[in-house]
Amino acid sequence: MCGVHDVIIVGSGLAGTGAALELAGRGIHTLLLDVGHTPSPKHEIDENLFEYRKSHDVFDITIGDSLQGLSNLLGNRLVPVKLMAPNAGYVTAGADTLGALDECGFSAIQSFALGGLANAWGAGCYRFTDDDLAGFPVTRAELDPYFDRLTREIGIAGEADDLVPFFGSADGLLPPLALGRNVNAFYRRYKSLRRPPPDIRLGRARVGALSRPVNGRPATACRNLEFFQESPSLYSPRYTLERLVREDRLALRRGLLVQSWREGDNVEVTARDVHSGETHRFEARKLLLAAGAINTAKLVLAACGDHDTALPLQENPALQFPLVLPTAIGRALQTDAFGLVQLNLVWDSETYGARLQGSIMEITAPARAEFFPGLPYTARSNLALIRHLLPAMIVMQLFFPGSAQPPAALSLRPDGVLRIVGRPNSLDTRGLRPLLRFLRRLGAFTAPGLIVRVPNGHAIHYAGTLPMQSAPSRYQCHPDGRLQGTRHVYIADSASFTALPAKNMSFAMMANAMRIAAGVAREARPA
Amino acid sequence: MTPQREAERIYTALFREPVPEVIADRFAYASLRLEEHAGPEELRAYRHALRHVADLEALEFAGRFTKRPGILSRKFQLMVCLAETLPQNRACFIKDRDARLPAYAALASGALRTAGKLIKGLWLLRGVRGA
Repeated sequence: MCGVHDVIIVGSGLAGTGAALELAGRGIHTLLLDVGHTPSPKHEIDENLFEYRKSHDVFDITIGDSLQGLSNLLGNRLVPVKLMAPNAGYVTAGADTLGALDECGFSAIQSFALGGLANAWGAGCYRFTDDDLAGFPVTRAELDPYFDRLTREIGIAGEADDLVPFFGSADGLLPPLALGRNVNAFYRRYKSLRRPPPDIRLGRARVGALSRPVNGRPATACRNLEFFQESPSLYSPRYTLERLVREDRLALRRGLLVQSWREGDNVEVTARDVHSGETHRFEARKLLLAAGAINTAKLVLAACGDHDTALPLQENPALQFPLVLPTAIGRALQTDAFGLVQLNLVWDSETYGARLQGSIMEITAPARAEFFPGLPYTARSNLALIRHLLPAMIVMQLFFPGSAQPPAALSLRPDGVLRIVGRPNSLDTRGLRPLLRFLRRLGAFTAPGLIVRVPNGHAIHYAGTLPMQSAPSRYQCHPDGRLQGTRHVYIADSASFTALPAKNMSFAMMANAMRIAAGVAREARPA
Repeated sequence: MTPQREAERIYTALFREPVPEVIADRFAYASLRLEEHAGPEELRAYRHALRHVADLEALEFAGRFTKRPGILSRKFQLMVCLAETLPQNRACFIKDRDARLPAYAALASGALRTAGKLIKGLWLLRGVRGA
């Protein structure tokens, strides 16, 4: 044990990084603990993937010697496409052993990397509005100053358009990224509608991808590498952490898996060295847990020695479907489109009784073979479809609020394994009819058989295990993030979310972590 | 049947060309992992099909159509994933120039071809299951 720190943060993902940024800005002596795997790319390229493929074998980039790129075909569990690239192996490295799970009806993705799962995120940065915060003991006005600061820190491309009422202020956004050809045609049709439906709105995505150079980071080059290698133009919380460490404003200890904590006058944190197995103890005035909604809950249950209680775990259920633009059939594949979300759709759905959010992407970036098993013809004819039909397709992911399905139940087994019991995604796809009618008006068609229910756990929007309440009970936290029944322990990540709207929560989670850290700073070192 | 011959049969069914050596090697390596998740009955039927069925594409489609895509479908998918990595196969996956007529022709002929292969595949499937 080396002295008493003002604050210890556990976890280096978006929440831990937001908290560290805020505490560093207030001159608080902060130690951040994490396993903190970092990338060690073996094969990277510096040109457009499709050009490179004209003369190079890309096995090492798309599949790799350990066959990671074939995980969904060869493995027992499904893996989101962005985590299949050999260069992304570090993001989920060691998850099976460091965070062993016993799952049923839920397929959780965990990361023990520096920056966490945000190393493979879609970079969607959406402010929570007062509608989204319904039920939270927090208002948009309390989060807005942090949203503003983060907008500058991350560098977010976007635009003030029809989605401002749903995504909040567009101040400080970088110019939007160029739209791909198909998405652009689709969006132009929407803009030309004389009478758009009152319940559906479309607009530019807000993504943490640079449309012009910022702070030494380059603008997005659109080289179809989004699924295969990291680009500094796409924000990772690692960039912020590395800068804070470089500037000597944050102490970072990697290689440590925090296992428990104990409160006295201060908080004592116990961590295991993942390489040597040695136990380390640290002491701080305040402890901020930001290990993700699942692992933060695990730490709390472990600290309480509770192997009976089941905590709720929310996620955004989702549907995914391709859309064909018949007018684009026969066109060449566009090879310089941005591979992540380009447009968003907000639908106040009567059929589902909820506000839903859609993400619309061109599908240039993933390997073409990814689409092969979903196509309806024989194998050889499917190859022809890949060549002729895929360039005319876009994809929509439609997210539902967490309340659209019962939460999964998370508990800690006596052997330390976390048990998660959920239900398979059973969203009724018939409710999509009004949306599909609207999409047809925009010249985009799909078929009911092509609508896929995303497995629960794959949206990677985990939340609500220790929700904030005005009058919290056990395993809930106060509006300032303090865990009920503790004096010095705060929940900084999405574990503290009271509800989960149908919106990527990353940006709100980071802003809320800053808000909580600001309060902790005042407590840790009173003026 | 040797792994090389197995790769040859599946690659030829997909691309109508001899399998490149590097793909055959990778296929043999990945196949071992793939077969870990297949039951003995399924593997026996698969090997029987490799030896005795000439039109693997029809058989594979019939399996998929009847909602029972077995190891043959997964082997096809594996081969497509591996084949895509080679520059010589780029043109099979990427369309570099606008050409509407060939696209519509491919969609229409693909539908007809698929219908024909389905009939043949269902007939072949009975033989394989009865073997």
